[in-house]
Amino acid sequence: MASTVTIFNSNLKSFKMKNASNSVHLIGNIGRNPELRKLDNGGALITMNLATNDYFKDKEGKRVVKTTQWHHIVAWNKQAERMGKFLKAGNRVAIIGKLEYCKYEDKTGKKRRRTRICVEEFQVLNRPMAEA
Amino acid sequence: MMNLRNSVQLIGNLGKDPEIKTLESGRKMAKVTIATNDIYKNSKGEKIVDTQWHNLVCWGRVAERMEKYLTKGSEICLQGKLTHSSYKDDKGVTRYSSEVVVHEFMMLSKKRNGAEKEELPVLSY
Repeated sequence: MASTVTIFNSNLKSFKMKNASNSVHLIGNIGRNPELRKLDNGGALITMNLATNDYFKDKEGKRVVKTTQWHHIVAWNKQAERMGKFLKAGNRVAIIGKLEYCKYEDKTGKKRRRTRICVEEFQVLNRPMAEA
Repeated sequence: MMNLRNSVQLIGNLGKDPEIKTLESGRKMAKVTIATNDIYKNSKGEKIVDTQWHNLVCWGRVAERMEKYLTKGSEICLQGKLTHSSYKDDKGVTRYSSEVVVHEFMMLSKKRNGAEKEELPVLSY
């Protein structure tokens, strides 16, 4: 079963349907300031780290354990420029994206795999605040 | 609440039979890889098939269901959360790995021969 993605190009913007087979939703806080790079072909690439928190209650019902997951986030071209405009370290943001793995060789020549989320949609939420 | 902050949904086919381990506590764990395919046309109009391989892990009732119903090639839809961990390999180099912890899954392809009627998805946290 495959999901079909259709790209429409109009004068104003491109429209891409989200795929159903690989979808990630994250809400969390951005770590350091996102790094926006312009590429030789005219495109752009932005990278950042996003932290999502999970809280576990103990038996007495008090919130005790907080675990944090750090995710590598990337975006390309127009999406990257948009994110570069709006996002800074500490911003709370909701992201919808695709889970990708890129292979690379490290200094010793060994093959490595790195996990990243490629952003399809994002929305800035309020500035970071204490978890309710 | 956790599902709002960190949620992954995948539809794809298993790469191998699930690997099942029973821990000392009696709890079951299942590990398997799944391939998702994203088919789209790029700006040049060329058809692109982007295949990503994900590592899945699940526990308890979900692992038992996986053991019972899934084999290599099974097509499933799953929901879970994304976790990252680091470890040091034998040379002391820090390595990173990512897994999707499966909360629930649904079979999309035919069941194994002899399997019972499909149950409703089982939640296991």
